[in-house]
Amino acid sequence: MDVLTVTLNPALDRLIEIDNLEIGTIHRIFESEKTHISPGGKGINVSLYLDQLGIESTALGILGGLTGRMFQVRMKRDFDNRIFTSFLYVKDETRENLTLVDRKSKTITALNLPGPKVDQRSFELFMKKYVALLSRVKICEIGGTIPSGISLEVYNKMVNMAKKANVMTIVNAHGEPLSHAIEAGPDIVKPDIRGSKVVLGKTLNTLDDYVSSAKEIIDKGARMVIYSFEVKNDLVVTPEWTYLFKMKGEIKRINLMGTGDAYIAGLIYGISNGKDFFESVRYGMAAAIADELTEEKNIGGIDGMNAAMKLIEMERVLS
Amino acid sequence: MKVKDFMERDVTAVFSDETVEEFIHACVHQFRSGLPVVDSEMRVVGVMTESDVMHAIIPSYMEMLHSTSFIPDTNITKKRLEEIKNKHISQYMRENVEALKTTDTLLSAATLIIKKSHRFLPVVDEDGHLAGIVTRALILEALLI
Repeated sequence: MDVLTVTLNPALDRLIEIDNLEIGTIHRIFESEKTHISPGGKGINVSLYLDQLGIESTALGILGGLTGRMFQVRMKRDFDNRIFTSFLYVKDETRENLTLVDRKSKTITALNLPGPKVDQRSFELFMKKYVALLSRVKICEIGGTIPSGISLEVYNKMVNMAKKANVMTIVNAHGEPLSHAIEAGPDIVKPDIRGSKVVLGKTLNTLDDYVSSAKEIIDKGARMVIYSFEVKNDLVVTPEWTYLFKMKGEIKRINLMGTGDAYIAGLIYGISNGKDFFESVRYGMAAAIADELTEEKNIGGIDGMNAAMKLIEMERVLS
Repeated sequence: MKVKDFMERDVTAVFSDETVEEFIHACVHQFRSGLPVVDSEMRVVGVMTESDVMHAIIPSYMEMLHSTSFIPDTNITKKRLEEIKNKHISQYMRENVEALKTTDTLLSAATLIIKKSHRFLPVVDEDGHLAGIVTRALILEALLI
């Protein structure tokens, strides 16, 4: 296998559909199809999408308690044992994310529980596993939140270790962990700006803000920066070119969860198949669009991704 | 059917310089009776099981006794575990363990695991890197298909 995905803080995602959700009352759910449990977390999702594209990967993560064990069993069962896994177990429980979808009132209520605390020795063992797995892969995707007990500088360390092992790095993170990762000069950076549009201390509003932020990241060593811009578009900057990848027309968006992870899987698909960055970005965007068209984390395989390619157009940004 | 078709694709393992105590916790947390031991490049260098720890802490004459009811307490065993818990598992693991290859057949896996009374066996790829594990239950489940 050529790809390693790292999720320091995986989550067991529970989605429950409730009509007319009301605080302070008991809601009894009788239809089992209205509850869904699935393993989640950025890297885990990327591995799931890569599997849909026929690319083997190893998902490395930290799990804990009975929730962690359930997570691993679901990984095996839900994905038919196709994704390689390597987990370090800690005592505290793996976090759970509870999402309540009320289709009648068209609301989504999310409760994200805390993750486990990771002690120093467990972290050392985890990093040892990480280095050992790096020796076997060509691409490493790092992303998501960081559990308590681990320094926010960890992504910087991980990128440096991957570079030392000649492994291409893709970072998909936000906030301080992202800033530290950028300092290490990962190959590809896809800042997660869903929660906050502040990157490296600067707020992003206009296209010029995005372009200059991407260039700042390039100056620190990245080979490509990908920003989601105004929902439908992606701004992609390399030292050689700057393009807006735009979606033509309108689609009926059914799902916006995990589309960033689908994007990275498509990108890795392109790179793994020898495509250049420009072409690989098209695969990434197509995978994300294909994911938006389906109810759950599903891009419909390579066919689904290829079908979405025709919805993309590119526009050079002069800067 | 080949081993790669029914093995568990979990490459969770321990390193030979982890301690016996860390190994015990790893087994308990993961509901495993043992784990593959790998080097810094994920090559399988041995296997460590709960039995290896038990053998190291229970006096050898106990195996010959038909009943342990007259043994006054478990202090000796507890003391022995206390003595070894911070030692590296390299001292207790079994090296040169036969590993299955991803291309081995279901029948050869079943034969090896039963013949040698293993509860599980590591699976390696063509370069000797850990690729997964096979347990007795996985073999039986594969035979059901």
